[in-house]
Amino acid sequence: MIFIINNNIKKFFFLIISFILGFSSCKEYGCTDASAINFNLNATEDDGSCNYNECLETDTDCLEINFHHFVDDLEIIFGNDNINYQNNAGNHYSVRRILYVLSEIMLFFEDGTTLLLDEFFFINTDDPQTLTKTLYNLPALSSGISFTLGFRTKNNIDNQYINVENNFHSLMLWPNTNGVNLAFQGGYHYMKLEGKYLDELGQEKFYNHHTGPTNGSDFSFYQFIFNYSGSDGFNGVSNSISINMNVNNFYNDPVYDFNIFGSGIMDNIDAQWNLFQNAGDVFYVATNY
Amino acid sequence: MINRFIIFILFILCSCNKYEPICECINVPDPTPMSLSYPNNFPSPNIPVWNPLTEEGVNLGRHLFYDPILSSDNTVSCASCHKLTSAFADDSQYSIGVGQALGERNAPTIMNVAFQNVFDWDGKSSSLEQQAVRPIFNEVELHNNNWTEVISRLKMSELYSSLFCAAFGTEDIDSLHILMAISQFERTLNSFNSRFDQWFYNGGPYTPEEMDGFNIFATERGDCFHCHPIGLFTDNTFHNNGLDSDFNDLGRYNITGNPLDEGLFKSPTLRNIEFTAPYMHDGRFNTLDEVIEHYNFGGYDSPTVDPLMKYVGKGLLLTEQEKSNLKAFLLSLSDSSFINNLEHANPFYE
Repeated sequence: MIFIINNNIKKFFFLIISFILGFSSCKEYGCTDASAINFNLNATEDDGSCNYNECLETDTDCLEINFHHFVDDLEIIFGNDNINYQNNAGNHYSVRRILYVLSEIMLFFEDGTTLLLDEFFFINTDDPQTLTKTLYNLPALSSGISFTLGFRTKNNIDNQYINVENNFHSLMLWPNTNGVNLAFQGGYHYMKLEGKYLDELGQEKFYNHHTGPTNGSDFSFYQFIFNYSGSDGFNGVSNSISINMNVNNFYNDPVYDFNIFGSGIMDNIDAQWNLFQNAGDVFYVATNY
Repeated sequence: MINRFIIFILFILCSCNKYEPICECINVPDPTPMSLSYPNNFPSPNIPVWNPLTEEGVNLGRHLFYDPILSSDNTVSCASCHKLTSAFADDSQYSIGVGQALGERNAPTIMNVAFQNVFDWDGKSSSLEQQAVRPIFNEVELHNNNWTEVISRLKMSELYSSLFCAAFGTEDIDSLHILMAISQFERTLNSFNSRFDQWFYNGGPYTPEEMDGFNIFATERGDCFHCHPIGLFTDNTFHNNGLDSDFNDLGRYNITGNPLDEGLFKSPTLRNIEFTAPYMHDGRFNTLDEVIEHYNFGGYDSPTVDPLMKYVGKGLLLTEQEKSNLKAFLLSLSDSSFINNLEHANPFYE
């Protein structure tokens, strides 16, 4: 009898203590691997949900897209003081960060079918999470991709994307001045490209090459289809590609001179038009395997 | 026999000194759900599914927020450094904690935090529940050593057992529910009824000076809007705004270890800036005029100064009239209904 009571006493205290500990220790389940894209800082127990944002080489229903940024052949080393790059106008400049939007993303497949994604890509070189996108449940391996740099006017609506992740709205909002200044009628930036340059006197200055709907105009740029190259040099398919940006090509033809357009260009139609004209050869796509 | 033993244990638990018995918190009504209203240029609030807002939870959080019982010597509360009259910032450069200890940064406002996802000047916290822990144990703030001592003080209070019971259906006070309640209250501290809002959204009156100041603010002329975008007036991220060439406080770098983050601090909201002096992470500026003069000067260069500070070394060169108009715009972000809202005030003085 005593033995039975002791057992029950133990069970009772176990329940009480479990209850108390249950509230005080607060286990949180989630992905505990910091290298995963869904890493949960607050998780104390791994629940097997880690997603590494990558397609296996043999996968045929996904596409991994990595974003890389170059000045000609050099992958950019981001930082204000790395003023080692030079454009056609002879401007020496650095790149501190690039943020941009790719919308109207369309995938092409070997059988001639296409898929228009219902999401846009936000790339922010300050945020590694945004530098890889993985698309799942695709009908086949894709053979090409097209996109628009920025939003076309019909999609560039004030506060439309206020809850998009990675702090998109706050970082890319184009001010709505309620009619006070016609250059700023709301919507979103297409791109924010920032760094330092040396002016005519060799003095360091900052530049903010922010493109967007100046005066309500549409300077978004449709990037014609990139067909992936295969082992024979063309007609390839892939589940892993890199979309590469060559920043220097924004400044080449027509020549964009930092000293002419100055530090900030959001209300400068001529600067916006110049960069728009240059956008055609800024991007190129490479397959990884 | 075992039944009698259980009854005995429950009797012991129910007869603790001033702590109301667990056994009385039964058949209490479910807490009343509460929703937030907010304008369409605010994002959706970040409310964890496991900590929904309820009237009773907010009420408990409000009591905990204002009660010095959370500090080790019963002298300092959350509200000591986040004052209603200062739009929940601190009017002292450095906040005073237990034993008159001085903090190292100016306490930021906790207004509109429901709509943000990173907290503290250096972003060390990614949720309000996570943030609320830190001051409770910080030796220059509430200076507790462990949860046990915090909880035992609350258990000795005649007030809290019923408040916890109403809010969470339990009188078993624990750390999780303390943090949940404080966070719930903080999520109700929302301000969006300024003269600017009334003009921008409802066509209310706005002076030519305020309008010109807004034009300076929201265009390349002053370029304030990139870090303080219209809506929340914070971009929820980190910048070096050229306060110093060398840093006494490395800010965001202390969290990330990234050299590009040295001297970066979170952009504060500019809503109610009239009430949140002194300004900057170290409270170095006492007036809005000093703040405007800093940006008009352009700031100091350093390897991590933000390219958005594009007038470093040359200055904005605003005229006296432009500076005055910019200040008029900033003052139009004041929301007196917010700092006079009795639902936000100290419940112990009601």
